[in-house]
Amino acid sequence: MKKYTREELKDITIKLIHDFIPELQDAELDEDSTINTDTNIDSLSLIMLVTKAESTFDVRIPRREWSKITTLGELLDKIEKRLPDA
Amino acid sequence: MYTRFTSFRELIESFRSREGVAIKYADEDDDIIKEVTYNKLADLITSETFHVKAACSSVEVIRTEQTLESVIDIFAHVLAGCDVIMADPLVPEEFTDRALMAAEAAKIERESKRDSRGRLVSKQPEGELLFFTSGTTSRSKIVRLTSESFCTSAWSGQSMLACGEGDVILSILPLSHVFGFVCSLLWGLAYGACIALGRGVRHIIDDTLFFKPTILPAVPSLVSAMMKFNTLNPQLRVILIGAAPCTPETAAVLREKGIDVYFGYGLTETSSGIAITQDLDEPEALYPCPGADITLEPDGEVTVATPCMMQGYIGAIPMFDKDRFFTGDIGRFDEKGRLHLLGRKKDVLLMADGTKIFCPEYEEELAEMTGITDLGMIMKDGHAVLIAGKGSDKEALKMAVAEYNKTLQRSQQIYDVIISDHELPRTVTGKLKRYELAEQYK
Repeated sequence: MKKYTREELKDITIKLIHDFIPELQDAELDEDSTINTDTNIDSLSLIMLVTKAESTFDVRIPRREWSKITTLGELLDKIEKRLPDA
Repeated sequence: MYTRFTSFRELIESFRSREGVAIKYADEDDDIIKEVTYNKLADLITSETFHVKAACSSVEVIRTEQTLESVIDIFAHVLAGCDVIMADPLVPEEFTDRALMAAEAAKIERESKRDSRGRLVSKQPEGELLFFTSGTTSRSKIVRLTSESFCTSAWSGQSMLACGEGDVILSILPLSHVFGFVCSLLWGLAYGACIALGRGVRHIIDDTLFFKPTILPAVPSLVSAMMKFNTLNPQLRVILIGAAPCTPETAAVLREKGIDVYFGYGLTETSSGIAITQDLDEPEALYPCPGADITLEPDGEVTVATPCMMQGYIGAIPMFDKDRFFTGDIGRFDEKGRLHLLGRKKDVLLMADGTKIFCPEYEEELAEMTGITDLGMIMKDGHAVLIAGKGSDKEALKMAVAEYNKTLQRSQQIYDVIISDHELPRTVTGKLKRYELAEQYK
């Protein structure tokens, strides 16, 4: 299974956001960016983003934790925690 | 023409004479579809009813999910005489506390029922279903509804838009909402369709391709997402929109794909549908459902009397007057007697994903942030827009709005700030005339 650095995780996830949510194609995002509020990701888009991230990194984030994801960094934390050798 | 069931017991008993598949479902990560026949479903519910009765519970919180167990649980508890609080499994933990408090209140209310001589009223044969509704404030109220009112709602819906054997209804809307419960579960079960229980939130966009439904109850934002990702299946013949109207443009695009789009208008307090569109080329013209007596007040407010009416709220006074429910919606009748909704009388904006904006909360927060008090939230071109009275500092407001938007989910954010040429229209007591303000910016 592929190993990712934090930087790689971040870059791939930002690309997912850009690819998956066309209205955010030009948005500059970093780990402190508040997803689902100031990045304009609504709840449906958040569902799709998390689902896409799960399949990309082959991880599974429990549903009860989804509502606790506020920033991009928090999403990365939840992915990173579930990667092999994390 | 269609059977009008009067209780869940009668409905479940009718399952025994049917041969078709009642429910199909699959695990989230599984491609194998499992099926339960109507007869088997009746057995499962009856068996569970005995277990619930043995537990002697009078009120239960059920976190409703699109699972066979959840469906059985709901019906079994009601049949066992237990009141059921329908709670969403994804809501934050504090909701659980409120749900428990509501359960306690429901229990007290139920146990304290007495007749005119002060004697305790005997236990009713079926439990009630308790739904949370946002109503006209962000503080939820709990609405008490009977199985009879739900069965009547399903029947009146069927009289307007029929489903039956051969139909597959995809159930992906929350069952803790009345629209989801009636239109994506009860309606189909009552009239012999097969209910396909969605595989969960990860498949909310693509379950259409997996289960190949013929009927899809949905909210506008979900339909838009399915259109965007091209996941509407070719077998789909009907989309039933609820919670908020679908734009005529979206309806037209769907019609080109051969999908008929209907919009159902109803409230939690009326067990869902009281009116539904019928003319496909006029997707905003609503026809009253059978038994629904819809009238307009002099100010245009829609009021309704219906056999599907709630029993009341828990711990709150119902907005009744002579058995009519005041909806808070403004409407008009056209020359054919069809109802057209024009907006909300109350301080609520209804967004495309079915969520609501409670305008006074926005206005008070922004007034506190800026010191500007002549503010009014309205809906303009599908977006929430802030209007400020003449002479207001636009830059200060825009900065405050940007800050405030960070605390809001996208669909509920303020899209624009407009400075009016006048002071905002108000009543003599200073209350904002929101409908009049919205008319000015149409």
